[in-house]
Amino acid sequence: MEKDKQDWINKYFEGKLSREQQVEFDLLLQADDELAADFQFEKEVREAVIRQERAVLKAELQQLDRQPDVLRRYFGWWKVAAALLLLLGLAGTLWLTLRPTSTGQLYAQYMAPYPNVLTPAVRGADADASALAEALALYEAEDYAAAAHRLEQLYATSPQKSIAFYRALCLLYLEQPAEALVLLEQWEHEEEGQPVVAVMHWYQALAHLQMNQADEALRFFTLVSQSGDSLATPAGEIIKILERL
Amino acid sequence: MNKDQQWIKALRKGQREVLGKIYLHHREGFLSYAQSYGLPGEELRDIYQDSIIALYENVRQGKLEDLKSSLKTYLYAIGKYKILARLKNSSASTSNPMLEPAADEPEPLETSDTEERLQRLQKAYEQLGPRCREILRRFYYEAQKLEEIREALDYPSRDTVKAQKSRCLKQLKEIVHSHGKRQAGLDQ
Repeated sequence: MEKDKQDWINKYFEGKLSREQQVEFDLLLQADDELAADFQFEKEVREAVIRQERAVLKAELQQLDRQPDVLRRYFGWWKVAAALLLLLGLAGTLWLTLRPTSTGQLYAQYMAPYPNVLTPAVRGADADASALAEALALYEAEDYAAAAHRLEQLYATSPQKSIAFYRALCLLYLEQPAEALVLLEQWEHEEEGQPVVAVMHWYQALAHLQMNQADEALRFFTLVSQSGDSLATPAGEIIKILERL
Repeated sequence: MNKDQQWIKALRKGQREVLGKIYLHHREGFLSYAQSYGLPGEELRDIYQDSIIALYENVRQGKLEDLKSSLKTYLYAIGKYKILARLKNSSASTSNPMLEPAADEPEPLETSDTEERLQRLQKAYEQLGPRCREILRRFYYEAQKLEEIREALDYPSRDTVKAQKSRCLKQLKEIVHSHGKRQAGLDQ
């Protein structure tokens, strides 16, 4: 096809034709069968491309629906908040003798890794589960940079909240609290009163402590303290300290 | 920059995995909100998926440069519109089950011919090489201009992109024709 004819078609699809040019283009289409056929072909190509791209996207979204949320399927992980409390037990004892005097100290004292409650349930189930087990083994070995990287890769193919959660904890240990907060905020739409929300608020509060944002930290610890969760007690202790800082 | 803005920015850059995050983030909320319209759960899920795709297309086509509301409000508005359209369609078809086709509707044969051509084109598009698919996807699906494609894919000039696009269309035609010939051979 002649160069200028293809230019007409390209300009049409680019939305670059002025009203006058559109009129001229319509006349050309009526007068030139070859141009009209090429134009019709491209219109059908556009339709076919749109259909195919939508079909691919739709299949990707449907795939997400088929992936069970590992966390919810295998256990109620909030039930193991008690395990976190055990880890915090040491911090609580320390607090009796050594009162923190800054948000940084408070963070260091109360930050504890959430137990890996995923691996025993999912190990060996499939390729994703085994990749998750490897990532969490790195997490347990405190190799947070490698764990965060693996979890990020895993999340790209299997975007589950549980994966985002452990990656957020890695980011906290890597002193990237703002990035961690973005991941933890995924829980914001869940209903209050669910223990899992209290756990998220706990770590959101800690992220704010790390960022030296006492007011924001206080806000989240207050939510935890009002949650009725077992974390409410240590949250209450921290609130008392924060109010005196 | 809040999370909605971060997500839109990421989508604009073509980070498609973010779409999955948005999908999961709002899924339960949307499905629960949409229940009141009385459509079956599977249909609501289907509508939600279409709404997410519409959101993606609007962002990629630069129609969401300045989002006034939250992403959630925007997404729910798309979903609500689609639900109402679906309800309207279903009530029209149930109230007039014997409805005659309108006079200006295309003849069934034409529709089926076009449909067949489109399906062949769709299959041929899948068989193109990744570079051609990328160019055609950007040009037709994401409504990018040739100059934008040149920038994104690092071509030396707009004319090079234009020539490449023409070659891709030619390939597409050839694949369609070769399938047609094969099909004709099988039919004999």
